[in-house]
Amino acid sequence: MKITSNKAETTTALANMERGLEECGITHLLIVPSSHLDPVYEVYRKKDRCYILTKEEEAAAFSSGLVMSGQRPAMLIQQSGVGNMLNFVWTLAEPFGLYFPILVFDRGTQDPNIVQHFSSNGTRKALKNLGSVDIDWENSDSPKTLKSFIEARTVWILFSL
Amino acid sequence: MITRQEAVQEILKLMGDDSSIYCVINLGLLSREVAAQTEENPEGVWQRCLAVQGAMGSIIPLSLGLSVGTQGAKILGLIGDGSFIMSLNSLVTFCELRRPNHLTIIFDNRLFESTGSQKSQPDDFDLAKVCAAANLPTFTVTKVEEIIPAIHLLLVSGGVIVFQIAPSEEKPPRISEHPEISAERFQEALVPYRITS
Repeated sequence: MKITSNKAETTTALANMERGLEECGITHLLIVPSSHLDPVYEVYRKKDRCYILTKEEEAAAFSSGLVMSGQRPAMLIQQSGVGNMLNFVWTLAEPFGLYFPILVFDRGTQDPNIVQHFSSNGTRKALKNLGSVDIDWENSDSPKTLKSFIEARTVWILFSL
Repeated sequence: MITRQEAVQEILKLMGDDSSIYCVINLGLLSREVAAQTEENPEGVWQRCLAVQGAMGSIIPLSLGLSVGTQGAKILGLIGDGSFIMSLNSLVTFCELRRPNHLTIIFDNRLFESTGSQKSQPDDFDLAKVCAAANLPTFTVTKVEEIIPAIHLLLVSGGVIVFQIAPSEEKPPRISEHPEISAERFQEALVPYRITS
């Protein structure tokens, strides 16, 4: 896991994430707010297409509705929210064939909040078994990488900042 | 009090008269009831129904997502009181995104009927008051003849209708349609109302 306190790196990473989401034609961004990600929210807020939900499972159901309407939503959540949404992924999105990518910001095992270390470890183990992939947003090719993940209908896309 | 069968019958009658109405339905006996009543004409109203056979508590955000992603469709979310209670946080989202042509209809029999009729709420818990406290226009319906007028009226602003439902011994059969097939045909039916920009 990488934790950077380098603001320039974070800015580059977020800019690549914004570009990646736009280039992949993501129409709506569904979030439960997490630290550091506000610049990405802002891009979709300006288009009136950023929705703050009260819980990650709610975002999964909302995304499912958008997919059935022909939209292309993506979820952007923190790793601690993954456990809040598994049932709706497994009993709504998956069985009904409703695909949307879930970008998971992993606060990691160096986070100042020790509880996040447990969450990060557990979440990574669980998501690995669910076929998760990692994306390095500092890499200028990361938007293309995101596109390939979405084309392959990869659900769980982990990243750090 | 209304029976579940009567309430579903009225909603399906309304859907038969108005092809712009779509319906997502809670798991359990409620969705089975809709499926059973549309069985004789599966090419009709059933095309515009989606029975969610899991994800208890998902109906409000699911129906809101459908409403946000479409234009001109009338979206009804049918939910049991047990499922509704599981998703009380969604009242916040509902309050934020309340819109015309979107309704949540709570079938309130005060039981987890599908799993053996366990009690779902204390006797003095009032779901209509909870919804009204969330600043949602809310009607309570106790008679069959009130159902269609209440839906017409509340579709103008969006909101919640609570049906007071009598417990029932009737157990319609399980739904055999595969969820992927359900989703494909429901999405196909929604195409005229997609927002393309």
